[in-house]
Amino acid sequence: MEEIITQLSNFIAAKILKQPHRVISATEPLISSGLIDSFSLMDVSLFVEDTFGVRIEDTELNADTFDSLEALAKLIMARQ
Amino acid sequence: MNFVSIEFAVLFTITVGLLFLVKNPLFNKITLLVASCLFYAWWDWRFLFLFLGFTVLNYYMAKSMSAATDTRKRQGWLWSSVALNLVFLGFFKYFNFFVDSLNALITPLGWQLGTLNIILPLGISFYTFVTIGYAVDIYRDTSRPAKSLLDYAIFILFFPRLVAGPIMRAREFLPQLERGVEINFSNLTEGVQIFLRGLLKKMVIADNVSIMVNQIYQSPSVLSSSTVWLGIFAYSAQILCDFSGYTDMAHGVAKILGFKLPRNFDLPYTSQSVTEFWKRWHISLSSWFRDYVFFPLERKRFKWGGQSVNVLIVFALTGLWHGASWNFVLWGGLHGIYLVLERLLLGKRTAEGPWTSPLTWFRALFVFVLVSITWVPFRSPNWDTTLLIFQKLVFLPTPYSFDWYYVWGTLSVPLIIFGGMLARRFKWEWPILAPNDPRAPAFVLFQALIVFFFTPLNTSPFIYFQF
Repeated sequence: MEEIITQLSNFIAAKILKQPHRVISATEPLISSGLIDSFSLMDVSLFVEDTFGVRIEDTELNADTFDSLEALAKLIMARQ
Repeated sequence: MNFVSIEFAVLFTITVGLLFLVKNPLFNKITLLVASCLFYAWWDWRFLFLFLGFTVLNYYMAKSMSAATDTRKRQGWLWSSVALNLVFLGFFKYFNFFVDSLNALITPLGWQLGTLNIILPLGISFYTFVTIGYAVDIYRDTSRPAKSLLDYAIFILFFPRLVAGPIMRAREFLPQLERGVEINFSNLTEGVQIFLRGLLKKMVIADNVSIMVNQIYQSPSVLSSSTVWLGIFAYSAQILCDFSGYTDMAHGVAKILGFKLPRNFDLPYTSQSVTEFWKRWHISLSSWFRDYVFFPLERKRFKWGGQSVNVLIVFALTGLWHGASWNFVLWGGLHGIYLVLERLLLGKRTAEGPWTSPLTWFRALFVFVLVSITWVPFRSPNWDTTLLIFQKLVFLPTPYSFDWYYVWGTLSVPLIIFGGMLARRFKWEWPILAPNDPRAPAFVLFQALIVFFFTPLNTSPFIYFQF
């Protein structure tokens, strides 16, 4: 799971936040804090699909489904 | 039927009385549906039957989709339902618009198509978005189907939000309907206060400001640029108070019955970016477009332009949803351009800053100016007025003057802008007092007196009723 979290963190920091050196903790709120907005959620979803082969449905792109790297990583592992 | 009318007061009082006295769930549901039908029929009974007919069709199409196990059959039912609703909306709202637009292209060739004399059904835009959303949610299994045609009809036609929203999802409403109406003293006092808040926004602020705004938009050519600038800021205040005022009234009416509607506004003019604005303005509509249009489009991004093209498409459609006019498309398109530029130029610097920082206040003011400019085509009666006002806004040589007799407009602008920002800074909220709070009767009376004394003689219809 650590590897998945690291890959997600690097992607979000570099491609979404445009801050490559930013470190996002595993439990830091992503969606509810506004760190990732609706425009970026699909970018995250497509990255997850391309990198891990796991599809996140449009209806799951919200804070109720995942709001942290840890929660997203668990979702990915459950579907692999 | 208008919330602010004698006929609504009579209908609502009878409805609440029946719901309170008769504790039979089936009777209550029938009462809600009959009240909703009467509410709509008061405007035009013919279109009530049209809506009822489409409601029955939509229900059985969604039911067939839900019962189907084969994916292709489910998709077939889904696309049939979506197409039916889009044709319904397209014919009544956009037929003449498309014919006129086509005529502009083919008239030079000596051709002309005729338009039809079509009456736009009240609330059709909101109606079709609720029905389409229901069909898609059933297809995606994110909502359970309504248990009966009666439940579905109440969900679709629920009178507090039938005409101008909020656009509600089935999973938000059907569980409340299953629980049943809850008419009690607590809901009554809270609902009345929320309703009064809306009444105050609409009658005291929006309707008074509209007097000035109407004059400015009728004859912008004779006014100074500074007055026109004041006018566009005042319209920003007017439309917020008009629409959020209506929404508050809808919330209040629903609350009295024991229902909770989704939030539709959250201090939108305190937004520090246009991205944030769309999380705070007409939330039910923006989330609808996000879930049912933007995300599906994003799955099929264009190779050139990518997300930017999808943003422009979604916001052009948002504009078109509001009205069958290129003015509305321009309004939506401007927001789309703002959003694309924000993402390209600012990236994550659109993140919210603290309200203790002067920079935050400046950003919010800047966004308010940007949004106010987009209201020009939204409000203008025609393209020529839009262009004329835009010319005025860039200060073509006119003598500097300020028409101070536009008191309401002049006062409303700082009230709405800085009132909202102060509310964000100090976390203020409009008080909704508990039923046992001894100040509640006095506060209610105070608001009612303000409405009574400051409502203008001629009030305006709700802006969003035209959509």
